[in-house]
Amino acid sequence: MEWYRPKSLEELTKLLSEDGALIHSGGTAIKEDRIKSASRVIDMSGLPLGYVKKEGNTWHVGATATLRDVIDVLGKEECFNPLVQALKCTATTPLRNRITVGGSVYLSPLWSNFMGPLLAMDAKLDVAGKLNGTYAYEEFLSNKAKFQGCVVTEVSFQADASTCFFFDRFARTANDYSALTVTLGLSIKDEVVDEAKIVVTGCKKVYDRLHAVEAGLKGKSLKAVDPERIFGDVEIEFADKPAGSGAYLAEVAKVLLARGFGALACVR
Amino acid sequence: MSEYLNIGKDKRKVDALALAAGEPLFTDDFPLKNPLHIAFLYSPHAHAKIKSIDTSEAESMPGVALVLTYKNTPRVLYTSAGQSYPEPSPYDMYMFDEKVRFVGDRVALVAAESEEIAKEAVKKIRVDYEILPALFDIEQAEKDGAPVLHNGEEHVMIPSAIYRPEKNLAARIAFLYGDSQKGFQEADFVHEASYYTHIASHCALETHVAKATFDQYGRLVIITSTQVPFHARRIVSSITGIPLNKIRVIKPRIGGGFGSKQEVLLEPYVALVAWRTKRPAQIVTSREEYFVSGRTRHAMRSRIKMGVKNDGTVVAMEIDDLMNAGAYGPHGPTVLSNTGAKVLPLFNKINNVSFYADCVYTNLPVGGAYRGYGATQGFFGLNQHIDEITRKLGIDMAEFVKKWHIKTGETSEVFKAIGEGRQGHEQVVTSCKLSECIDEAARAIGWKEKRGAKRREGDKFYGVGMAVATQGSGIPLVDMGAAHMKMNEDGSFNLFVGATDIGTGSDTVLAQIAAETLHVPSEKIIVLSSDTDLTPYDVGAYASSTTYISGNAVRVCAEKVLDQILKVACEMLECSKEELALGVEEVVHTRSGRRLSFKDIAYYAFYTKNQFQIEDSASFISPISPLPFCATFAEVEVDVKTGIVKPLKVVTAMDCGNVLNPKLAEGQVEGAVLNGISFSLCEEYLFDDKGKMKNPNFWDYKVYKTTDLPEIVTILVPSFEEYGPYGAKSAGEVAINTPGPAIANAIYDAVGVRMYNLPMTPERILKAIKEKGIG
Amino acid sequence: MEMKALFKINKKAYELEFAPNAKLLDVLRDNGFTEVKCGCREGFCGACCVLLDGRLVNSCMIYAASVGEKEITTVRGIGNTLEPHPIQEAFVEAGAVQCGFCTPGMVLATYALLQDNPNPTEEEIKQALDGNFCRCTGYVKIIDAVKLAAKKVR
Repeated sequence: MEWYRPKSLEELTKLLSEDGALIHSGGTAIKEDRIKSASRVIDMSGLPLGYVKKEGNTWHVGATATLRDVIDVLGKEECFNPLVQALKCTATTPLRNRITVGGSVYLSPLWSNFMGPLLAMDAKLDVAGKLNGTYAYEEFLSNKAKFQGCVVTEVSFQADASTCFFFDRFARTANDYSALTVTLGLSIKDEVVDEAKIVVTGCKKVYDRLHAVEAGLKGKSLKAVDPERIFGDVEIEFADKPAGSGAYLAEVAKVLLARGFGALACVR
Repeated sequence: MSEYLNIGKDKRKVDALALAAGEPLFTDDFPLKNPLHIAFLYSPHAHAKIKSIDTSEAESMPGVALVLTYKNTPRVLYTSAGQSYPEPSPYDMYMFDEKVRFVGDRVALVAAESEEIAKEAVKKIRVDYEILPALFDIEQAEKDGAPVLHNGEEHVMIPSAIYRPEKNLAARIAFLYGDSQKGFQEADFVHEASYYTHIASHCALETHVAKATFDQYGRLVIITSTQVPFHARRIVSSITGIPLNKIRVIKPRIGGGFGSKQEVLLEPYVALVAWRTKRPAQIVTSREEYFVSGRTRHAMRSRIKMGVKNDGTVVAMEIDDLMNAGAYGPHGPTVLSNTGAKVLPLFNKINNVSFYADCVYTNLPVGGAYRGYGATQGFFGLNQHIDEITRKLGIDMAEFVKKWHIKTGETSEVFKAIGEGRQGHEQVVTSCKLSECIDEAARAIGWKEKRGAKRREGDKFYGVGMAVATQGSGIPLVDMGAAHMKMNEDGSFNLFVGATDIGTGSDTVLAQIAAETLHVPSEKIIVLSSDTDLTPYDVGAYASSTTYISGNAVRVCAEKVLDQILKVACEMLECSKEELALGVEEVVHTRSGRRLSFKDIAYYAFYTKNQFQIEDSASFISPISPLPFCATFAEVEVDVKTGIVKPLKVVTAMDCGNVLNPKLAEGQVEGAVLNGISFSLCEEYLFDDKGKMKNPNFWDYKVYKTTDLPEIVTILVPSFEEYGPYGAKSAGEVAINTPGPAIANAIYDAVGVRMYNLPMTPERILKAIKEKGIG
Repeated sequence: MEMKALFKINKKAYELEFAPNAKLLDVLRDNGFTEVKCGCREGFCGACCVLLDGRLVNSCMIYAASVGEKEITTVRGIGNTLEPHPIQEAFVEAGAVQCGFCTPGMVLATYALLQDNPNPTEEEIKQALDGNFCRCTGYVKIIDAVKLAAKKVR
């Protein structure tokens, strides 16, 4: 078995041109028998992809940046960024020091905290390998099969000063994985909702962008909005999970959404 | 009273620095030379007969040294419970049997050159099962037609509890005094309810680990993560036939036990493999094995009925407990008896009591000893019941408990009636500061201001609740501990105790006791513990016995050694004992003022005249088991829209007698309290409908981390127990019994819903809130 | 054992052999670094924590093959019984060591925290230790120990 540690994107692309390599980023999600049976492992850690930087109005996060790196750098400048909020309650300190953005975004498991924020911020992914280029994160999520044989090299999103975000989740303990997350982004002009972004994750559909609610809120005066009624009508299906039954989780999602809206309506 | 030299001081734990420095101290830190690694084959079925088992392919794998099944292991019934002989637990297990009784039961083992080979070989063992109907519901266990788990030679060694395996009855205990039916008729009202506690894991950080090797003389040396080295030695010998004198069991440092290691779980296997192959053998179990194939807390249904008069007198009480033994019965009868024996005496002024308890087999993971040992289960229901009846009476629960709990100088019928394995023993409570504990904790939580205040902030409702508990200090006339001490020339002492320090700090506390008696600083005591070759016997770390039983043995031993020191001093000074006074590490001749240091005395004894080794031994048993007490007051925040409960502040006041080492005593409370909190809120075994545990990992079995902590306050309320060493009682278990019911009572105070089931998850609380129609 | 690499552990170099799917935890323990403990193998309990280039990580979640040039620090790398680190002293003094199985991980978590943040608040302490499970202490005296350690180190 060969353990490759490419030092440049050119080397990486060359290695990816052959099939059947196992990509190792932080490695925390790779089971031992997968490594055992792999003939080729591509270790991302030598690549210059550990950056978290802002260029103009766009944040660029390299694939091998750890969750901790994102919290440190992005969090310093934008502590209310929903991605920062989401990552802060992800896993634990030593895991955040090791889990990489590229690795976890590529996997995007059902319980990811970052899924909602990245969707709400219309994040983009740069990929290399079978496909090369920039794709919307939403496109990636809805069609993972298309991106087989690819590697995420960067995640990017806009720094949007006009939108206020809210992130919350339901879990059994402080460091438990999320049974569901809610992300809300509101841009408000003169007490009127200019634009709303509302994402629920962890549901049966994996993620649910509440387009109907978003459309309904657009142009509405804040005073005219009754969040409990608006979100009370929403139908989101959850599977039964250890943290709660599907029916219970659906109810909690509505409560968190209503509260999130209320919090944002007060904040600005 | 003159100031103590060592007692009541925050003496550093003797092993703390070594542990903080990462010294090799735990079982798996001692590498064996070329050992065989053991892996188990576990049953995938909850209940099945093994029709055939073919190990030939596994045996022929290169690197495999031995494969064991029921066909080639001793057909000896035993209990894995680490208890004094004859063990009060049913002898209902074989090393391997022709039948499996829960998903995770042992079918076979492979001993091989590496863990990897052993695990691969395990996969090659072919088993043909005849699947039998499985039993999971304790309420069905004794009914006609229920699947029967044990119907062979299983038996009990002592008839302390009724054993009817043909009815899946692992133990029945019944006890009554007075006439509860008459009492209910005299009552002004009767309240009846059932409470359910659940299966949980100790989650000791170190899993089960055992190693067996040979010394230069061919004796078997077992190094194992155990709470009961002496029971392990005896039980290994009786199962395997290896002569006891050829076995040495050493307990090194243990990464937590909490009862899970009061069990002879792995030792017989490593011993037999080593004995047969003449090679060292070891097994380090995984977290999954710890969850599934280790031991658990017994789940229990407790139906409580109280007849109450309007003036607050409880005239009658009926308790009907049904406990889940799991597939085998270690500790079943004794945990069962404790749900009465430790719970009933707390309220000793109820004149008509009926206690009826059954422990039944089911095809589920096996219950065992778990901190609290039945008292935890019993107190969950009792404290909520008292909350309910005091609310009905319109009186303060704190005042009620203060009025009615057992006091110093009082006794209870229960002490004599129910023992822990053998018969009970009468006793009088000789120290009790429970009322003071209640007062202090109530004050610290703000009981008067917050109770019934119905504080609300939007969807968050706040409330406070309380609970009280007692436990014991060792098992009367059963638990025995012994100590041996010898003096060194420089005035230091070696203290050999069988007592088992499992992280509790007993080595340190016992050194303090010895040192206090001898009037030397505890740093002059060198402790060596829990080695069956080098230390005298001790039952081990359970039943909260170490401070009281082993501590008293140490005290008596030190007194005898002091006696010898004084005799030598008399010889040296040519005077009588009455003319001597004891200083710190020295003896003073009061008339002349002449001082002899302990060093002088030791040198004389070793080298000068009438030379002898200053040393002595002592054993200790007790006819009583002094009760520690604690009261926990909890404040919670309940989110009425999501059911999420946040414990905000949990205050526990404990009376453990005279406190020997405040930091260690507080540490016991704090650990027990947090365990009790997470047990009652989020720990849960999830099973599929075939009896398989779905969450044998920390991913889905949730326990509290630092980020979940409420404010935890510990208040030590010292009393003085005249029979305890320097007035001490036990501290290890009692505080795990109160957090769950205190939180349940606080939830009721906040939202008016009574939580009868554990764990009190958000979904269950929200359901109860909705049924009540709040928010 | 198909792979061989140089590991920098506690400021010394070791050439170690290991299987490609070997976790750093096992490579360390098999080569004498028994201070690194195994509690769960799922990255929850933190008994296996080491510092990798000064960052706290779970060695049970890291493949040894991916460590490369990074510096590994175990608890013995920061102090021992003869010359203890003030953090280890603080744990002893505060009564924060019961069974001691979580202690090496807790000490390293404290070390990593105080390197970044010499004066942490109680919340920051809890966050920094959220990857270290303890069943004995209820964490209370461990948090006291971290506060004491911060004083000693300053």
